[in-house]
Parts: sequence; structure tokens; C-alpha cells
Amino acid sequence: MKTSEEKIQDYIDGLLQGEELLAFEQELATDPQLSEQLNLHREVQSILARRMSSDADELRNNLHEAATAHRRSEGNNKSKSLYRILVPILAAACVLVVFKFFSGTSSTLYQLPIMESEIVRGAGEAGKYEDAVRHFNNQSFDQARDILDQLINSDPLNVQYKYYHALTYYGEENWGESIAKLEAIAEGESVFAREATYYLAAAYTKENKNEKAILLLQHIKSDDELGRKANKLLKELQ
Amino acid sequence: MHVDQQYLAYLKHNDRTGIDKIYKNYAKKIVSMIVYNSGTEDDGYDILQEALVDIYYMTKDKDFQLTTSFKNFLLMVCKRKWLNVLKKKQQMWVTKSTEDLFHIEDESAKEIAESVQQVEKENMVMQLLDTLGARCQEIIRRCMTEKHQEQIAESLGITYAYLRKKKSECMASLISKVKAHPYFNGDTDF
Repeated sequence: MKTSEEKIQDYIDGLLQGEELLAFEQELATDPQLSEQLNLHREVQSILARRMSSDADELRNNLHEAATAHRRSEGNNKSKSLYRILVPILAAACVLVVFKFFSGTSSTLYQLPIMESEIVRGAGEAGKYEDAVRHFNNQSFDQARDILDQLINSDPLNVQYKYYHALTYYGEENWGESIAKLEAIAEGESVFAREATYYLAAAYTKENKNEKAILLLQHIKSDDELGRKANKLLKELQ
Repeated sequence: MHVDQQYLAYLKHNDRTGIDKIYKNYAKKIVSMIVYNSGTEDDGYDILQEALVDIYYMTKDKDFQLTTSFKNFLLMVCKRKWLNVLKKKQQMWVTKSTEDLFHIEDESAKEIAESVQQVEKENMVMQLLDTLGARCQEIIRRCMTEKHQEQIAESLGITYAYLRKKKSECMASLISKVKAHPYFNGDTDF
């Protein structure tokens, strides 16, 4: 015995025949619920057939590809727009940085240099030197000077030690001592002579000896960073 | 014939160049609308794709005539789809300004709405089909796409009679789910 659902399905598929078909059609005529059920079956089956025979999957693939291409294109446009905005800003920033780098402010003209960390001769001395670097850059000038004193005693000809040793007084704003120490280095022929001359000049200005400072600064050639700093300080003093 | 009828043809014929034009001309607007209404850019592109598939179904088997601009039509379809998503998320808040955006001063609005509802009903049926068991889905799919059911039965390793029985059971199960769905109880914003 077929269920009502089986009869409906057979009827839609054209498989009911003879007396079975007649009986079903009579039932349909008298049973609105069955008729309604049949219509719903037909509608759903029609939807299924329509949807399953479509090329929607191919369309989805194309839509997906088009969307991806569009988003990429939009992303590029955004990047270009951003680029157009950022380039002038970055350019301006670069100009500013370069200007600041080369010009320096009045206060930076008097700033001490960073004591460079490097190994100088034997391992034992290198360890001490590194301690001096740490103290100097932390502005613990007396501690840095103690170590540099030891290093100078062990290597009296090392001008690098003497240069930073002199700058420890400069850092403490002990202008008199720094001038005394720096003069010797500035008059020499070591690689620290120009730097020592510059800080000597700076120390003179702190002692209000601008004329001496100006004379020294005029001897520093302005073809490098130190020269440009010297030139700047010179203009301030003049 | 409306000048924008070409956009429907692009979808109907799966014309890639035409589809690119649709994205170029309308994607930004649709995505902006979705993002403006608490969606993400990904939501926007998903909604747009599904709306375009819906429009494809509307035009696939009949001569669907566009009587408003494609932009308005597409916006309306996308809006309905996004509203349904929001409703499911229970985040029903759409800005007034965006509501204005979708107001179509056109007598065709009713006809368009009917077409959209029909496609939504079809989408619902297909979604319910996916909730059936794998065996039922396979039987229904094959019976809908292949002519000879004896061959289907043979390839499935079952008798023709059993296939008929299973098909009617599976269809009955699907019909039962369809009848129980809110869409069939008057809630078209399912």
C-alpha cells in the first residue's frame, strides 16, 4: 500500500496509471489539503529542477574572480592615493630631518659627543674602556674619568683616552680643567685634534672668551658635520 | 527597454567582461552601504555576489525587464539580503539616510519585490535541501538532473522500487521542512 507521499510523487513523475490514477485524481478533487500538498510538491520540485540545472556555479566563479580583481584594483588605488598624500609629507619630513641634522640648535651645538664603544688594545683594557663608555654616556663623568685615568697611566700616548678624559670635565661644566686638557689635544696632530678644537672653542664661550672661540672655530673646515657645527656656532658668536 | 538591461544580460550569459563592469560601477556603492550599516567590507562583497546570483536566477528562465536603473535594482536586492542577515544577527538598525537611498519612485517596485521574494523562496528551499542527510540529498539531486531513474538506482546499488520509495520519503522530508519554515508562514524577511 503506497503512502500519500508516494502517490503524490508518482503522480508528479507520471507513474500513476489506470485505476490508481483515476482514484488519486478523484481524491484530489475532493480533498483540498491533498491538492495543496500536491501543489507544494510541484513547486518545490520545480525549484529544485531549475536550480540544479543552472550554471550558477560557473557564475559564482566568475563573480568571485571579478570581485578579487576589483578589490585588488581598489587596494592599489587606495595605496596610490595614500602614496600621493604620504610622499609630500615624507619629503617634508626628510627635509626637516636633514635640516635639523645639518643645522643643529644652539643647545645641540654644546652637547657632548657620544663616547663610542670599541675595543682598544688588549682584552683587559677593552673591558675597562667599555666601563668608561658606559659611565661617560650615562653622564657619570667622575667614574668615567677614574677609569680613563687608569687607562692613560697604562697607555700614556693614547690620545683617545685623553680626549674623553678632557670631555669629562666639560661634561661637569668644569670649563677651566676641560680647556686645559683640550688645548693640548687641539694643538696636536692626532685624529682628535679637530674635535678637541671644537669643544675647546665651546668651553671658551662658556667662559665668555668668545674671541678665542671664534679664532678656533675659523680654523675648523666646514666640509663635514663637525665643520658645519663649527660654522653654525661661529655665526652665533659673530 | 531600459538602458541598463545590458547588466542583466551580462549576468544571464555569465559575461566576464560585463561582470567586471558591474563591479567597477557598483561594488563601491554596495560595499559602502553595507559597511555603513554595521557590516564589514567582506560582508559587502559577499552580499553583492549573492545579490548578483539572485538577479541571475530572476533573469535565467524568463524575460525579466528592468524598469528602473540597475543601480536601484541592485541596491534593493542587496538591502533585502543585508536586512535578513542583520535580522538573523538581531542587529536591526539601519540608518534613516540609507533607507532613503533605497526608496524607488517607480511602479515597477512591486514587480521587482515579487521577483526578489521568489528568488528568496528558492534560496530557502535550497538551503533546506542542504539540511537533509547526505543520502537524501544525493537521491534528490540525481533524480532532478538525470532522466533514467533505473540507471540511478543501479549506480546507487539499490532497486528501482527502493529508489522510488526513498525519493518520495526524502521529498516528503524536504516538503515538511519547507512547510515549517517561517517564510511559508507569512514572514518574508526570513
